[in-house]
Amino acid sequence: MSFVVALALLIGVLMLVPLLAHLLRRGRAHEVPFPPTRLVPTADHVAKRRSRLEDRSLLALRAGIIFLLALVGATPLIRCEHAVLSRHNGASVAVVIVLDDSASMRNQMPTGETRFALAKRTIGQLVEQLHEGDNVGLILAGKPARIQLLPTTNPTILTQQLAAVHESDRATDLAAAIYLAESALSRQPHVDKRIVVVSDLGAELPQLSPRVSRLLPALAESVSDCGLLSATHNRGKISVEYACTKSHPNVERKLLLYRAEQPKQVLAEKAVVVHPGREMVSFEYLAKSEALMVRLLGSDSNVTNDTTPLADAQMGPSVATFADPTTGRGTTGGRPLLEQALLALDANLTIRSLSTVPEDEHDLTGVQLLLLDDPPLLSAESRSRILSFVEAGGTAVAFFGPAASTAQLGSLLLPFIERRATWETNAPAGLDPKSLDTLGAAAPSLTDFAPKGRFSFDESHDPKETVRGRWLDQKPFWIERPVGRGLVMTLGLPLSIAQSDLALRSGFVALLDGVLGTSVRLGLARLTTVGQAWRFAGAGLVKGEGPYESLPEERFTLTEHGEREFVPSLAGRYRFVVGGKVEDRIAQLPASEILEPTRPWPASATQEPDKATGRLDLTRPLILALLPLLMLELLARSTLVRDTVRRSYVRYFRRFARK
Amino acid sequence: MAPRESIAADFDWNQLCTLRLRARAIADGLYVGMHRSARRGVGVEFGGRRNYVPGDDLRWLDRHALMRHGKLLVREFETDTERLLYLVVDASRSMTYRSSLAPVSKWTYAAAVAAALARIALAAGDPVALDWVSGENSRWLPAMSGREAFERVVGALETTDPGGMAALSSAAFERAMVPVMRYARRGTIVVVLSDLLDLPDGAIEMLGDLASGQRSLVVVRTLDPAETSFPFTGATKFVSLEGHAVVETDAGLARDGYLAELARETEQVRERLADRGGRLLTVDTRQSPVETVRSIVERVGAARS
Repeated sequence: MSFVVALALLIGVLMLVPLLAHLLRRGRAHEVPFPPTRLVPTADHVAKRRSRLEDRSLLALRAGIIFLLALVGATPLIRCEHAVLSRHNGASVAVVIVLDDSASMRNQMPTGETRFALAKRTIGQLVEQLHEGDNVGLILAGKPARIQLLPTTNPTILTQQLAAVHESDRATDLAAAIYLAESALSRQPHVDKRIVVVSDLGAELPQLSPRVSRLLPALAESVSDCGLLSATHNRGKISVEYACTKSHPNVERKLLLYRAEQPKQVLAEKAVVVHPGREMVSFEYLAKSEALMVRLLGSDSNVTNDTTPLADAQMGPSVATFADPTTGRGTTGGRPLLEQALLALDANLTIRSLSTVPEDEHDLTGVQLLLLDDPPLLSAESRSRILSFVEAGGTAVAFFGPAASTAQLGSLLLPFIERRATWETNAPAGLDPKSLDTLGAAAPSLTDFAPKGRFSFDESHDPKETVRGRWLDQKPFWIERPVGRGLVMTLGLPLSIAQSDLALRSGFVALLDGVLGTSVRLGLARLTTVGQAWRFAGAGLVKGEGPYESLPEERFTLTEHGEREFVPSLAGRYRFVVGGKVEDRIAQLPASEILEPTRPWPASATQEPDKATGRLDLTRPLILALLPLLMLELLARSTLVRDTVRRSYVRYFRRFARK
Repeated sequence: MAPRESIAADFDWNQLCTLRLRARAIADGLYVGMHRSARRGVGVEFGGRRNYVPGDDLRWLDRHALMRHGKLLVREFETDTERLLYLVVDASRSMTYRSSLAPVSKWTYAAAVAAALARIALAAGDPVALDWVSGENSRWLPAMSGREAFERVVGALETTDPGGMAALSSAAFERAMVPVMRYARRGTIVVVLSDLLDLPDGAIEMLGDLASGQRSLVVVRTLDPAETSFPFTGATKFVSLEGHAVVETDAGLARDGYLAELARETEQVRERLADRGGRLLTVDTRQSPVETVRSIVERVGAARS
């Protein structure tokens, strides 16, 4: 304990002085001889209460004065958590507030308030301190990051926008949100520009500039929570996946299965001992699985994620694969390498193995992603079928290899590639990692897989075509081209281990994950995570019912392709009516929001939260509060003195008269 | 003779006067002659007519009225008679009380009023007797008249030290009343000067019994201004002078209750005395003693009519 703290405590002890004075004073009742004492009512308790009440007001007044005086004296020592917008020389500032509206912000603080509510309240305090000339904007960091309000000089608009923001089950996308904030600030003329992050830091943070600071570090404190990620019904078996935070104890909790419209009627239950991390449990349920819900019983800091709708296995992402049975498998046999890699990505994937390149209409029904490993020459039927699949919103990916080199003309590789492409036996050692920025940390693993050849094609002048990866000699390896509502991707190497180690590298799994994510984002999947858009073909009217309420029409936006798009912000079951046909879709909670991998605040950003919260100068309000109390005290004192003087005079004159 | 209203205000008669002077000053402020006889019959002054009843002396039959109205009416005459004034003074400890609001103690006030009454009675030729409730060195004085009697009454009042407790027992109080009952003959005027506080049970009834046998009873309840107004405030511990009553209370809050209780008790005493033919007069020691004596005289007259 420092000397200053001890001194402050000592000042606080002074508050006891009036209390002691009060107690001493209360105990004294002056004695008066009085013959008709028996006529005096014995209202002892009333008298004491009256005395107590009267003295209490005086006690409160004097204690209040001492307390305020102590506070005034201690003002330089007070660190107030009230958010303060500090200014350099009083100049106006441009502030963009990055508010995290992800699912993890729904966790409750020890006070019972959710992180999100606390964040909104604190931002409100910050907004109150804006002066004329200040610009303030609001970015939401729930995935996808959104601009809620571009910097404006009118804080009232921000207050309105803040009130319109609600909790969601989105993932966190702080990097994109801070990028948006930087962009919004760059157009502001102010010298002093700030980005204030209000988040529990449950996502990857980019390199931050010193202008970025954060409010409420307490939001990042760990909580004890378990939540359901998904529940899938497949062939009489229900698989429930849940996740728990590190601080959640290993306790037994119960899973209940019930109908959405009859929550109290339990259809099945299963006891599970939950552990920190992500786990899956299964139990049998042979009946139909229409509109069923699964609930995790027990208390934790977030009850909103303890319920999830039961999804049918058919609702999950569906992938159709074609691999050459002779070259596409590993030397030890088993599933083709492509399928094994897909299974490693997501257990909920439905994989349909095709023995031939799809030609029939039914081959691709319900499929969102088509993967072709070393496909041969595409027939006219195959080209037509793949083209219609892609135009409807599907994603077709082809890993071309020697099998396609028999194509006489590049045009036969349509719709993947429209120009000349040939198989070369002379290939660079690997890929340029700089060109593979979408693969993140896994990109360097693809620099030296030593292929025995490559499917070579030149760069196109088509502005729609994007090169997403290059060989070390800068020739295109991975190109992407939109066709209709969908995408086609062409990669210049097959997955056969006879040709290269590509399929065994971690970069390949990352590549496959990116492809899968892209196909899901195109909006055909009926089972997605919160924040991923759903698209509905045609610009007709779409009606929807969310997990809790009907969806207003304005939530369905019109895309550039003339489709209706809806982004679910809450996890649960959604029901849409599109062209008279009812369709159920389910948005699932992102696992990262429960596992809560809280990142440390980067060293490059402002470390001291004081820059955002600051020390609050309480002197003025304290003095203003102190003045009326002092006036009251003086008034009370003067009245007492007047009464005392009057009594003294009376006594004096009486004594004089007697003499 | 015009009453001297301002006599009490002219000087602090408690400090400067002896009891003799005080009593004279008070008595001189009143007309001399305490009473007129209530007895009608043989006398000098015409006292009215009444219907004739068999047995009346036919000498007083009014023949003029018989001739004028045809009714038998008898003429009556008032006559001055010798009336005994019996003073009963409470000398208990509670009578020594004097608050800061009072010019004198209740005892001093009561003694002055008693002496003044004695002087008035003696001046009218009536005998005076003196008895006590409690008190130390108190001397009972039998009925006596003449100039010397005043000196003896005053001497007894001066030598008596107020003290003791009136509320010791009802038997003791009854014993104090025995001489009064025995020696106060028919037509006696009994004046009791007391604060009527801390009296034993049945004391009021015993006092009321003094009004029997055609005696005139006036009880003068002598109180201190503090007892009539209860000027105390704040947390106060009240201690009785007689007995062991102790009450700790907030005086400001208790004021209304006390005054109501005092008024209720006074009214109760008044009713009990009135039932037996007595009169109650409540005075406080701030009041002019001249007015107090005048009021006593008026009530004596009313009690006799």
